[in-house]
Amino acid sequence: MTAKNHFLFSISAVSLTLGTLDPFVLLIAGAMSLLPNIDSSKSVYGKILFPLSRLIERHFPHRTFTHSFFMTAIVAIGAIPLAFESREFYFAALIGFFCGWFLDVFTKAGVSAFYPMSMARLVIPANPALRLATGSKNEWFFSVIFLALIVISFQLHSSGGVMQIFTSLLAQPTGVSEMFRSHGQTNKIYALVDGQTATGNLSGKFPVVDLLSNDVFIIRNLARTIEKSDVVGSRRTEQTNYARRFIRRI
Amino acid sequence: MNFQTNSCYREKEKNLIVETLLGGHSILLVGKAGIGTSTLLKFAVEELENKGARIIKIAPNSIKQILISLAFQLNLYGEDDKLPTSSRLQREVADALKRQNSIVVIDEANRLTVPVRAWLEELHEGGQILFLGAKPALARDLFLKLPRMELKPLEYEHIRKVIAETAAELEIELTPADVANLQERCGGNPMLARRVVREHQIGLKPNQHDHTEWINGTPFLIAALLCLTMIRFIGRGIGDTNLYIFGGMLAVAASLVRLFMFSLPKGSSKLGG
Repeated sequence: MTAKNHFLFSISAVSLTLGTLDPFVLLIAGAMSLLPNIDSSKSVYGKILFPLSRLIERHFPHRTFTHSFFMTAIVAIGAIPLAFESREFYFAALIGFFCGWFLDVFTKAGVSAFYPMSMARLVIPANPALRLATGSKNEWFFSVIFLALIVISFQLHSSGGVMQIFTSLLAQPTGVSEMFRSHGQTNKIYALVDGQTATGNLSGKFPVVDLLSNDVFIIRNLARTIEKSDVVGSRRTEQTNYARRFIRRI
Repeated sequence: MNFQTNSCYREKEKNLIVETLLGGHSILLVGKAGIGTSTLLKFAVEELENKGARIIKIAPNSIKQILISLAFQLNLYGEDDKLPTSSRLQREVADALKRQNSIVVIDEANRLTVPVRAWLEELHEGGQILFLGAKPALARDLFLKLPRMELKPLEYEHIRKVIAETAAELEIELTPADVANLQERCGGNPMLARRVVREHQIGLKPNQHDHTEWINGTPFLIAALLCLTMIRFIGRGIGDTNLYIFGGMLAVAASLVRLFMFSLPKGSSKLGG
C-alpha cells in the first residue's frame, strides 16, 4: 500500500474506534502509520532517518521486523510516556502504527507479522490473485473507501456518535433513558412522544426531566404550562396506561 | 550459466548428516522445491568422500538401468561383459554393496519407481546405508521407514549472501534497498533468491511472489470480527436494548464477511501456484 492509503486508513480507524475528531490526535495516528515503512530508505521516514533505515535494510527484508506484532509491542511500551500526556494520544499512536503495517497484509507480499517466531508472511485473503499490488491503480479505489470512512466518521461523531445515531433511529424509550443517563447531567435531552395521557393525546418534542425505570421517564409538558410533570411510558398503550395510573397516583 | 553455490549455508545439518551416515544409519533429506536439498546433498557427499566413505550415486531410473549402473560402479562387470538376469544382478549388487560398505546416494528420490523403491527397501532392511533427497509429502513404503530430516527455509542473512553471490556472478551491483526488496519476493528459498536477482537484472518486476511461506490471516480477521458479537451479550446483560440490537446487527455483518471471505477462490499452496 502507498503512504497515502496508510495515512487515510489510520485516520479513519482512529476516528472510528476512539470516536474523536481532534485533528492533533488524528495527526499522531497518521504520522505513526508511516513509521513501519522506516525499513525502506525510499519511504518518507526512511529518507528523513536515512542512517536508521539503511541499517534496517542491511539486516532485514522489507515488511518484516517493523511490520510485526513484536514491533507493535515495542511501540506500545515505548509510547507509554505519551499516555501521561493524554490517553487518547497514546491509543492514537498505537492504533496508527498497527493500522500502518496491518494494511499491508492485503498486499501480494504480505508481512512477517509473527517475527521473530516465524518468518512466514501473513496475508489476507489466501489467494494472491485477489490481493493488492503496491502502487497499482486499484489503490485509488481503497483511497476513496478510506476517505468515505473518514467523512462518515466525522459525520457520526459530530452528531453524537454511532450509538446515539442508532438510538435516535430506533426511537425506543430505553434509548431516551440511556441517553438521559449518559448525557443528562450536561445536556438537555428531548424525547419525541406520540401517546396518550389522562387528559388526552400527547404528541410532540418534550424535555426529559427524570427517569423512573429503564423504559419509563418523566417529561415536562411545556404546552400545558402546568407545574406537574407528565409521565410518559413506552410501547404505546400498555405503558401509556401505566403512565396514566402513575399520574393518578400523583 | 550455472548458479550452483560454492558456499554451504547449512553446516549444522551437513555435519549431522555426515555423522549419521558414518555411524551406519540411513537418512532421508526432505525439502520443498528450491529449498536446497540437492545442494546440501552435494556438500554432504563431498564431506563423506573427504572422510573416506565409499559413495555410490544413483539417478532415478528404471530398475534395470539402475542395476546396470550399479554393476559398473561396483566393478562387477565391464562394459563388454554379458550381464546376468535382473534377479541375479540384484543379488550380486546387494552383496557387493554390503561387502564394500558403501553408502547409496539418490537425489530426487520421489521420482523412483515402485520396483526400485521395493528393492531399496529390501536393501535397507538388510542393513544397507541409504542417503536419499526428496520433495515432501512422501508418506509411503521406503520413505516412511527412513529417518527424516526436513529442511527449513534459509535464514535472512544466508539468503542475503545467496543474492550477493548471484549478483557478483552476474556482475551487477545491488544497493541494500534492492536486496531488501528482492528478499521480500523470495522468502527463505535460495533457488528463488537466485531467480529474483536474474529478474532484477533483466528489469522484470513481477507481482507474483512464488515462495510458499504464507500464513492465511483470513480466520484471524473473521475471529476478530466475530468478537464484535460480544457487544450483543453486553447489551443484553446491562439491559440496553439498543446495544443489543446494534450488537446483533454487527454479528450479522461479521457473518456476511465470513461467508464472503470463505467463498473466495483459494490459491495454490505449491511453489509457483
